[in-house]
Amino acid sequence: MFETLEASLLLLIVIGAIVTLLNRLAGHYVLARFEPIPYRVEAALEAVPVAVMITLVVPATMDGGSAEWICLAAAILFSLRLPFVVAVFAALGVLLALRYFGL
Amino acid sequence: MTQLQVNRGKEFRDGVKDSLAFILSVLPYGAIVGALGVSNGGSPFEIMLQSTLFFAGASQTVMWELYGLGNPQWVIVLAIFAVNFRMVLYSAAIGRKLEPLSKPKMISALYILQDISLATGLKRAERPAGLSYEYYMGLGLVLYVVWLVASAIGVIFGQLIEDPKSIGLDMLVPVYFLLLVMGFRGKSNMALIFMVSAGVAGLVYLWLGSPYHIAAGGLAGMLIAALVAKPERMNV
Repeated sequence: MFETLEASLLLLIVIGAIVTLLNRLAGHYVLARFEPIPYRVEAALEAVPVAVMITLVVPATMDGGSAEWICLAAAILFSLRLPFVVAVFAALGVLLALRYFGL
Repeated sequence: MTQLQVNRGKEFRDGVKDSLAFILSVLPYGAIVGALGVSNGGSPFEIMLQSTLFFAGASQTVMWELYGLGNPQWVIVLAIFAVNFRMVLYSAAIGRKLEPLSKPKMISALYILQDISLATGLKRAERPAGLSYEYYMGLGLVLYVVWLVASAIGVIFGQLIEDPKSIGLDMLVPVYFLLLVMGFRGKSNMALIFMVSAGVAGLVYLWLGSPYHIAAGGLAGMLIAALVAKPERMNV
């Protein structure tokens, strides 16, 4: 049981690495050969990272309570002023403080 | 190229020098990924293998989060692909600045391509001498090594944490991706894409549950971006 789990995780890492490398190669070796790209296609491609990454925030928002919501709202505020990594830790600091005070 | 003959050693050193400013931001980021790997059931070997092969923090974070939640493999692979999709655009933009390069050199350069190398490399390419392979590799290799060191620190740190929730690790991924998304806020129509993707993902999450909200929100965001796009040339 434990061994099969390990094997599936290793396989996942290898496939994920291949997919990542293909992304890195495809831009130069495929996309750059297809210019000009139709503007609507280009806009859709440019939207992919934001459109997907925001969906990863959804479960925590829907399942969370006030501490989680305030933490995410604080993260948005911090992002306007602070460097990325600092904002991450500051937002988590807010979360821990709220939890400490029982929210 | 002869009139712009570059000093390879100096180019490499310039790249190394320009990488130093980013070390402090890469370190905690890599440590987060390493610790997240531990808390989601990865072994030190697997976590270091992932950092060596991916060198792409956002997708590594997604992989551990979705793996820890027990999602099917194809969903995780699709999410990795989607989160790293920006690399396709990066690669198209930086590849032409690095040309002409032999295939092995180009592939080695693209293998270590990420957000910092793109931004710094494009800036360097604005100079008359252009962007050299040596500069690009000097910058990227330092970041790569720092990434591996940071991941290892995260693995060690992660093994010391008994309850991930006690240090807020359960909210790390949502906060992290929300902040990544906020980094795109200058781009055209991002607020609209943000709201449509989040709204559709929220409804699908309530209706069908995870992981369908990822694909549904992603596709809805792409669709709205295509619908509202204006025919000017964007700077890819």
